[in-house]
Amino acid sequence: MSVPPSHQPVRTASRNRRRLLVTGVLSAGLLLAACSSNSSSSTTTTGGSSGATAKSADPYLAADLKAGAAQLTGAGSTFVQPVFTKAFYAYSALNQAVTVNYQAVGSGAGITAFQGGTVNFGASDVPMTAADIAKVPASYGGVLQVPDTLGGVTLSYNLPGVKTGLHLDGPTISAIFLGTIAKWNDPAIAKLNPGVSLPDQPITTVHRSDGSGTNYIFTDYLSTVSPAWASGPGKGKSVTWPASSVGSSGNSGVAASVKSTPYSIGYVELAYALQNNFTFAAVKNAAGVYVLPTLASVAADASQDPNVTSTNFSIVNQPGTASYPIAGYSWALIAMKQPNDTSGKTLVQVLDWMTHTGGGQDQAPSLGYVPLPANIQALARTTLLQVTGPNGAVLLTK
Amino acid sequence: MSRRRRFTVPDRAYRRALAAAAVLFAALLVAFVVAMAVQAVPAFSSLGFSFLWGTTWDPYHGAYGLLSFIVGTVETTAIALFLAVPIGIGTALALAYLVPDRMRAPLSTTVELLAAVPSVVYGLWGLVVVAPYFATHVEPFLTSAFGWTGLFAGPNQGVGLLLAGVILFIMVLPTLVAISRDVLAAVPREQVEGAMAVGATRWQVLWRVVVPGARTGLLGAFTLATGRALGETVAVALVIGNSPHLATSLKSNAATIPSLIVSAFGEATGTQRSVLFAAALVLLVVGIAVNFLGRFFVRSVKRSGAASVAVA
Repeated sequence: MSVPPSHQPVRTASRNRRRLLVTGVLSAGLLLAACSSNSSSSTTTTGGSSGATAKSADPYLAADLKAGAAQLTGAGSTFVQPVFTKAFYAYSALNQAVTVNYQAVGSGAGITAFQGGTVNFGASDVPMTAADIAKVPASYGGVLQVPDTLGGVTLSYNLPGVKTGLHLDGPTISAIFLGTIAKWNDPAIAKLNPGVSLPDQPITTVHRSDGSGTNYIFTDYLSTVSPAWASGPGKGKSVTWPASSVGSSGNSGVAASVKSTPYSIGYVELAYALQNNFTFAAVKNAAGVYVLPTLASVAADASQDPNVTSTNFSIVNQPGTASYPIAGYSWALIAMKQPNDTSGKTLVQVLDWMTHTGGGQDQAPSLGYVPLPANIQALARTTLLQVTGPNGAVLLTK
Repeated sequence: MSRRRRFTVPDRAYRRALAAAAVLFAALLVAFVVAMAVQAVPAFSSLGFSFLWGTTWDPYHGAYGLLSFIVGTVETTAIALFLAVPIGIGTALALAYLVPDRMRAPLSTTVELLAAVPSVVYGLWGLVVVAPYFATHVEPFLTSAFGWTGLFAGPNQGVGLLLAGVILFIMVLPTLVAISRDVLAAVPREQVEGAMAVGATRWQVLWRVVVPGARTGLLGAFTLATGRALGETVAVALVIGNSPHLATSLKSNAATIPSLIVSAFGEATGTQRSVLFAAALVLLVVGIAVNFLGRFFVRSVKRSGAASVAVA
């Protein structure tokens, strides 16, 4: 039923407008006060860690925290979203002149955004191929790829009554996702798990429906350990999945789908699995040991290949008894020649802070990411030192 | 006299502004079609027209078949409307004519509030709350009761075509009910009372006088509901399973054109991007076709001499 509008004389209208203005100003003021008090309280909590960085002798880190004012944007991988969000927030608390806005749209979309010039930096779990690099504007002067995070991909499952640590090996996982193993109590799975009572239910597999670097790392692993997978779907940011496999967008989408679908299994980055209290599998590594994904096991896997570059970046299925076989780096993509001195310098300084101990890497363990090994941090810095401003001057300084 | 002249110029300007707004909306529709077509031209020139009915979607190997998405869109909309039309018109009739006066306003307001819930909330609710319930209770029950039809083959995953159709039904129902109720209540009281006066029963009044009398408005409600169901993106993408294969049963994973666009557009380049615009064009054409089909149906019923005078 419609209510007729009440008749208001002009005098009351202007008085109401004034009241509205005053209320608006007061509430905006209160909000601002609350926000600034929030950031100051977080400054005190991170004040401890910045005190610790003063002790370390890294001369670049101190300069990184004094970066000039800028609003930076980045887009890409959902793999790194939790750690990027926390680290950039911590950075902005220490240096209020800089804000970084990161959109987790998937590695594929991140590369497209970076090629289109709509963001300052892209983020992808698989480095850009030569074909991708050929599509960036010539004004970029080339693309630099900086390793920024190290994470693991878990096989998370929703099996009522089965605890974390179900034993799975490469060929079995491949068969599950191909659909050739259709039920949880299949003999192939039961053989790896004596003593575990597996339900007589069909397996629902969950995969990424968008172009994803996590997808690349997972299919890279499957292609390495299973010839059936290598000759079938193969490896890539996007592959063809069987019709019975559920597709979801983003790591968070797969996490939500696994949580909502009983008797399902999906691949999610370790941070999402820990945040959602998932049960995940212990995967058999190259040495034949069943290893759970933890910070230590992912770090062990990464340490087996210290010579990672943006063209030789796969670290799946490394040797070593403690290695968790499904792990990968994630990469930040930046233009070699920045168009603007101020924002370019801030960008490299923020990324340098992000990739080093005493800076953003300190935020990693609390979220389930492994801090970058020392040699990879060194690689990040030497890569960032190649970035120049529009007139050719190196932007990253002590 | 001066008073009359003071109101003439703004009056004319106001009339012209309104006329311009009306023309603008018509022009906007044409602009949509042209913009989509322009972006879709590269796809048609490099792939011909056959990709519109191709069944394989594998962009990394150059296959861009859109049939499974078109069929998925039609299927989810059909399920939603199949449930929404009888239940929606029935609810609207009840709200307009059968519910006691005291309850009419609160119930109507509640239905209108449901129409205001954002679609993504429906999608999240569908994925997190309804999907597990579907997988453990609804789908097993439907499979055991109706499995003989062959429409319920496959595992009970929860997400899939059926859940997407049901979520869409819940989303279009409030819109359908709110508009239908107003339209049904607007049928002239003389006709309703006249029918009762010649001895028609309550059901005869409703089905032979009220509903036919309101049919143009009901068609408008139906078109709006179809439009919403066809275009629903995020809610469907969350619950439909996103599989680019033709659905073989109501429990299979499927995909619709909007869910395809939302998952693939971010990283689509070149031909794939153009194909997505072509898919959007197909969706636009389907929507317009449904609208025209409905109008044609109404006009043909009128021409064949249906009972009462249509409400304008």
